[in-house]
Amino acid sequence: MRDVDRLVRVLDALEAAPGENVIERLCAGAAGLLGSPGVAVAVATPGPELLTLSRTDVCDSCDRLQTDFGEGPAWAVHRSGWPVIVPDLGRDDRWPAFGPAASALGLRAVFAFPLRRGSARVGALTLYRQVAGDLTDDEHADAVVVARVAVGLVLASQAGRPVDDLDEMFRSGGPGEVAVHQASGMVSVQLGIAVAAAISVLRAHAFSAGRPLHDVALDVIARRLRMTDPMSDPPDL
Amino acid sequence: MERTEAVATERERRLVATFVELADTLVEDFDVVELLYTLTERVVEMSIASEAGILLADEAGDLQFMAASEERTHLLELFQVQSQEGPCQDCFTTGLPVGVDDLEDAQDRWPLFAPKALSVGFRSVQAVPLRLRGEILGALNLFRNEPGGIGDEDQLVVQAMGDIATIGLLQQREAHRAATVTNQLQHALHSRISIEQAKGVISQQSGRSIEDSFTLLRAYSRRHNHKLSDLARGVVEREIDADGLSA
Repeated sequence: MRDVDRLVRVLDALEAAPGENVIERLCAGAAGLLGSPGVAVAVATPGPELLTLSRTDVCDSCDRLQTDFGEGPAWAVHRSGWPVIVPDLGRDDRWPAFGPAASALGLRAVFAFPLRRGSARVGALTLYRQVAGDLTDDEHADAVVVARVAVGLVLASQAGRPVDDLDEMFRSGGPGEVAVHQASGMVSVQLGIAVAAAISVLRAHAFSAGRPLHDVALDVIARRLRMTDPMSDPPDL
Repeated sequence: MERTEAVATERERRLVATFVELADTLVEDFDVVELLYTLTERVVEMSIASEAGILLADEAGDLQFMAASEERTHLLELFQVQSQEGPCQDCFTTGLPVGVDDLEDAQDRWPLFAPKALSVGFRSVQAVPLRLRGEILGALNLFRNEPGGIGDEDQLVVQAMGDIATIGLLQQREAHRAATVTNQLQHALHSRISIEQAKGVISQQSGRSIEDSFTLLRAYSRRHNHKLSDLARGVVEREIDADGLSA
């Protein structure tokens, strides 16, 4: 198939898809086009964190695991700049935390593609499947085009705006995403540490408690939970 | 006859090698100035011209010197830029190739440039536009120590080299543009995240709710005409605390 035909086909599919904003429609359209019910688009923030702009409902829990653990397909793509292809998650051990947790939720295959423009890494497109198996050549080629379209949409939606005027789309990461940053601010005061370190403390707490990061963050904000410095605490006996 | 063929083959080989070399430089993060210098050097090595130079239009649309195979060309190109007269200038203005077989006959056309070029030993000059569709990015200048233009075959080679330079320039410009837009997005996201973090910091420092913490932050930013994102960063960096914001 010629490049331009593929682009037209992808754009037609995305245009026909429902959604509140362009990235939601992109996710919904890509789900059908790429035979992957779970589709998520995340953008890189200036720190190590990724911010999910939109995800289809079916991959909600799976995709959130990446924020919980700070690892997973989109994070790997963001760090390396290369696509991540995992046709059988059950036979893959690259993510010690994300892998088993996602498998337990029924994830069988995952594919992630970089959103990039020139040498700049903009984010990642992740495809989640409940059946093992590789992408077909056609699906792979379509996914690359969807990623290219996503870069254009992401950059265009913020282009030319003043710095303080962030497009509504970038705020729609859900209450969980916002809460994590608010809780990091609180924990940074509780422990007298930088906010970047505070998010690691929250993540470690969530991991050892076996809870989602955003639940822990909401508890911190509601003052139901307070982080303490493990070095200054007497050990539990 | 055999000898001529051998020479032609050698030349072809060098041509192919040059194009491969130029294409090779068009990888990610390539140095566009390096590409342009390589171009001017190869034009000379293949005896298409005695010397070569490249001028590019800057953001204001004025030509600026970019690369030259030799110092005397460098100075002559700078002279073209300063005097705003000469083959590169004409080529850039019209978007068409410009050639003068003998600079002795061009004293009327370029009263400043022609004597200057003759005085450093050049007798003929060609300029090829660096262009894509309607857009002209600059021009490639070829100088020869002898009168007479370049042949049709060399003309094709030079235009092909100019096209490669054009591709390189456009590629670099696009990368630069993308980096600018990406930085802008990163900056905005950073501001957004800082504001959320600052709400948490204020909430912990003062016992206020997250909503009330934001109200405090915004009120201070309006009262003191501070940008909200800058103020939020100040809170996160502990340059100002909740008490300071309430005062």
